[in-house]
Amino acid sequence: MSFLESVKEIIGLEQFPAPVFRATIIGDVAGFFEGVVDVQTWSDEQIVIRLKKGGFIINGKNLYLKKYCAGDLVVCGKITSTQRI
Amino acid sequence: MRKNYFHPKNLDGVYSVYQIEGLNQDRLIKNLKNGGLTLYNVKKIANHKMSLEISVKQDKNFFAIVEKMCYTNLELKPKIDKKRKKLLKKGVIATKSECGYNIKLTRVHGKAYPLYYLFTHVGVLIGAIIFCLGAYHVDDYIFSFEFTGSGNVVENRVVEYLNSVGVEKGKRFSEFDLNVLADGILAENPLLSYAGCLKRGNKMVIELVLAKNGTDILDESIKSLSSDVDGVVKELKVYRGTPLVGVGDKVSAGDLLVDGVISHKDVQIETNVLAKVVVLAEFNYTFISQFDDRETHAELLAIESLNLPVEYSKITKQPDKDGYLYTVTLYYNRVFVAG
Repeated sequence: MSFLESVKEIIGLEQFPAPVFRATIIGDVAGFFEGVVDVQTWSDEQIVIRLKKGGFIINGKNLYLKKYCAGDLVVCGKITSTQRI
Repeated sequence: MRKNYFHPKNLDGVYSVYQIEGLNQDRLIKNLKNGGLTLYNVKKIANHKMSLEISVKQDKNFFAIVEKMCYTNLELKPKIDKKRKKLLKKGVIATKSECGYNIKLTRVHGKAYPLYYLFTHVGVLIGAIIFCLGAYHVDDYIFSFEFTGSGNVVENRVVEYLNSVGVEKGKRFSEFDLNVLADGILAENPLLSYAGCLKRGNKMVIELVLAKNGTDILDESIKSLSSDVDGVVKELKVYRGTPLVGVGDKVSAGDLLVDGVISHKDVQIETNVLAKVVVLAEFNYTFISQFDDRETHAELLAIESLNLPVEYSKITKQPDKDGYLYTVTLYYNRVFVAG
């Protein structure tokens, strides 16, 4: 059993269907997003992504899209804040 | 159509970096992503200017998408696609003024880029192959000899042996077994205790070590060394005795070359001579013929009469009452050794 599955079991989410999106922030240097529908706007300081349910605003400095394909997005740069919308 | 797996565009790990200038870049990103492309390092460089990386495998898809989007002025620095250039001429692809977009290929990189470069630059690949083959081929030829070790004093004898077995400049290393050659040198020269042949680039290095106990008998009865030919002193090595001539001096038959008397502080000591002198000697041969084109005959006859290795020759021809008088002068090395 993976760590994530263990966490799901602990918080009682195992009976729910798989989440439509997942966001992982690694320190303040990178963010990994699954289930990305679209990058709405992006600049060096802000990236707005649209997910299957809602979206995310990532603020920071020197932000860029490290890898973007088939609903997966890796954002690199100095991430100062993220906001769920 | 069958996929060409060996096409350079199918290599993994090679990426094209494009610089795109224009408005509505978000839409471009969206379309590229929806088109199934994997985008790497999408960065904003300036206002309305960004750069992105795409695997060369997806280059075709990228251009298909941007052409559909009316993306326009294509500057492909490394190699301009002819088909795309034609389309641009025909007006199928819009110009910059119409849509206001620039797509420029700035560089191609990646781990497999050297391989990709070789495949896309066939001339370089062929050149590299020719260079490697040429280097391998030329590497097999003997360009020079080098004698090392204490045994190099018998260099001339070793050279004679090497010549007798056909080892010369311009011959190939692969024609000879260096170990057999070393054994042969050792067997031919009892003065040596060790002989080794090595290949160092195009140079044959011959390592020789003198034997502590030689089998030659040292003749200590020779008190002087004289010339028996006319010529010019070419080489002079005196280990014991007093040299009476120098290199370049003209000597005649009977001239003393090395004397066994050594003067030291007004004291004269008589000793045996240990020396080697090489004199470039002359041999003249006269030949009379009725024909005026018999220079080669005269030279061959003179060489055969001398029966020694000739350094070089001169031929003069003069009309005579019986026909033509050919005078052939042969120059050869006369070696005097004492000791």
